[in-house]
Amino acid sequence: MNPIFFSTGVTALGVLGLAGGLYALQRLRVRHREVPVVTSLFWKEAVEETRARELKLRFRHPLAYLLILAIASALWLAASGLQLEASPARRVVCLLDGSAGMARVGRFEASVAELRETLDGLPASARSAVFCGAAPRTLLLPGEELAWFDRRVAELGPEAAPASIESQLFALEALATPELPVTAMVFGDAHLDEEALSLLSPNVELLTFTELRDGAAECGITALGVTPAASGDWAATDLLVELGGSAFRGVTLELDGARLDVEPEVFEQDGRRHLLYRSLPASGGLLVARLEGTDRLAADDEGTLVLPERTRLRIAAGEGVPERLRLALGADPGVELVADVAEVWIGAGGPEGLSSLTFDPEDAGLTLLAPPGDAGVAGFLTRLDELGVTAGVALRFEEGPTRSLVIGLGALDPALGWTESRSFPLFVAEGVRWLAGAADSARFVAAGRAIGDALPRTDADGLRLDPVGASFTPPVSGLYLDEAERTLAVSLLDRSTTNDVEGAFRVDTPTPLAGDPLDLAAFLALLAFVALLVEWALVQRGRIP
Amino acid sequence: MSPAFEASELYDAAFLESLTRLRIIATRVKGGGRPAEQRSRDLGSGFDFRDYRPYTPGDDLRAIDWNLYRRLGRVFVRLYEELEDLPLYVLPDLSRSGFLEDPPRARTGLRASLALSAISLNQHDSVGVFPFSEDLEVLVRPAAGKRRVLTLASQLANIEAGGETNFGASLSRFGALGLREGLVAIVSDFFDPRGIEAVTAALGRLRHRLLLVQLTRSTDRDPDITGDVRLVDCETGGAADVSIGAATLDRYRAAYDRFQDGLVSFARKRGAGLVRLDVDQEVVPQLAAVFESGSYVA
Repeated sequence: MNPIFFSTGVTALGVLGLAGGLYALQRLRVRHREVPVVTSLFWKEAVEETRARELKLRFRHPLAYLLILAIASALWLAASGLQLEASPARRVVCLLDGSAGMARVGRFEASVAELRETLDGLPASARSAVFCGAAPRTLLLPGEELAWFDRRVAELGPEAAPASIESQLFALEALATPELPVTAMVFGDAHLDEEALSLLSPNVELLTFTELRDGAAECGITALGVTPAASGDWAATDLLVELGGSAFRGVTLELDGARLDVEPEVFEQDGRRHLLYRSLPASGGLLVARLEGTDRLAADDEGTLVLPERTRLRIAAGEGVPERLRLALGADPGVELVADVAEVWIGAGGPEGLSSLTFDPEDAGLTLLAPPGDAGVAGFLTRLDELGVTAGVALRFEEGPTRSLVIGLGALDPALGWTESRSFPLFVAEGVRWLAGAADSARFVAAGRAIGDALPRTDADGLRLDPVGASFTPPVSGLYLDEAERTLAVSLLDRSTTNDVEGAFRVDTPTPLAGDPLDLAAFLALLAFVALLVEWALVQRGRIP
Repeated sequence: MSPAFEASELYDAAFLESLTRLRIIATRVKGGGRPAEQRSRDLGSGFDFRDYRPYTPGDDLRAIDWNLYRRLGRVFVRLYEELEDLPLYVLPDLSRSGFLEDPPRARTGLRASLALSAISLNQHDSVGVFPFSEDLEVLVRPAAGKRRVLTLASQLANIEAGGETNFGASLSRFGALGLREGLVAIVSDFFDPRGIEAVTAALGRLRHRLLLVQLTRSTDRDPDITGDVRLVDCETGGAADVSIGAATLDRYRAAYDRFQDGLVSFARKRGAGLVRLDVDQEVVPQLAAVFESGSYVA
């Protein structure tokens, strides 16, 4: 047996409290009405059996006490929602889609109504419900009354996040066993990828309860990204806006609240429209791309992005810098050679503690030095590998006090051809930026997708997210701040939400479940009522006082 | 101490007039007293023929039945029932229980005592009155005379309430008086705190004929009391807290019935008369009904 509303301990303590309280009441001295009688002769026998309650006297009414204790205990246990442990043939988990797509007018409310009706028809011990928004939240636990569902769901609504139904389905696999399979019922518009669903364990049965879409014309921003300006202007960046849906609309741009009048290059591919805005100022401003007009879903009508802030890297060069390297630095528009305070030192004799690029006349390879635990090393090496800029040159890694890059002069021998290749300036550019610790802003930041860095961030309310420094996944669209108070703009950017394919959903009929287990609460309430009748009858017949 | 009742509460002209219609018959009373209108157990020279017996020397020759001698050839004498007086000793119960309710059962008891006394006096019997409660006192020594009814009534009206009922002590005191055997009429509710066994034991020690006049009330058996109450015995002052329900009342009635059965059983065994008077009814009609029908309880 399992109480629903209270813990087992509280329920047991309640019964004990009732027993104690009623016991005290049974022994309580009552206020008597004094009645003189001509003789107490005949009362003596009767009095011996029915003496009134009186403290410190023998317990007189065990039957009455047991009866009232049974009634009170039954009512208390009924109030605690006591239920017999049932052994359902399977467990039913209802998943309510709380993604942005449910923000379409009436969709969420209709799904909630459908879900509630379904839950009402399921055995309480076998049903549960989960809200699948930016993060899963419990709506109903097995055995709970529907009132809990009503209370919890009233505080929820669609969130500006992609659907998380699929991840919940795979999480359910941990619960499902051949002996107790799980039936997952999905209520909402979430797009479920057939290929992904095919990977589900056979112990998880999937039923969806979503009305077919009506195919209304919609449009949304499904991608937003920046690249260095193709014009070569170091202080500029190119912006790509991708539109999805069936009725493309115009896009307006705002940078730090001011409208940008820039005409994009437009091209379409695979049913999506791409808008390429060239040479926007890479000033670190907050850019907002907004669709003109409205449709049923507003969450994907706007995308935000923090443009990269591209300031020139200050580099000081000492003596003995090879000419090929000096030429490569001079060709880099993002680099400024200075003589005083610099971010990177090139050559021998640099100040201690400053990242440096030095040369080893005894070597013919490349050596990276970085402090232990420098998370940027792996990314830098991967970047070099992707660019293929160190082909033919040996690369080593060693721990050092600061980031340093040592180039063996042998590798710069023109006979090897590396310094003459197109990759050498690129290697130099990437190398000095790694040494300076410079990094572009994320190019594509979407809700529900991991960013890839491990910087702790806080949301707009100042709540710290991912405090352990795990790979950060913004749950919903909005603005976030990292520890350096830098803004991270996150947009919905979910193609499945925006595209919303008509007819991609099905409506299943649930398999009837076994009957509800014995409703012990109702039984106990009935028992209490019967016991009350018995007590009334006994009182009427004078069997108990 | 003041009298328990006003004289007018006990008797009036109508009540005294109604007494003249009562008759009480006593049987087999031992001889020794003065002739009266009651049959005695002695056979002698009265007027009513009862039996024959063989002649023995010394018998009155006038009693020989010569007709029987002629038929049988043997001498028999006729035996006649002697009429003697029947001393009546009235013992009204004046314990506190007789004064608790309304109308008080002591009033009925005294009226019944007066009625019985009047009947006896009217039949030339001697009447003595011995009220009792925790002890017995002599209010009126046995004396005869029809005219003594009013005097007796006046003396009963001046009677005072007693205390706790104690049949044992009271009847022992009565027995110690050494009165000639007669009819003892005990007018009481018989609610002795010591129980019916103590009552019957005390009654059993009496050498007299007994007439038990029990003063009852409907609520004796069916008390109108329910709920959590503190019962206070009006005589002993003892209190008991009790929750009275139907079961309690059932047990009470069972106890009361056992008490009544004990009294009836004693009366039958002893050959005593037992008359129950409802204190809420008039006394004389009840007594008249009993005497006219002869339907004593016992």
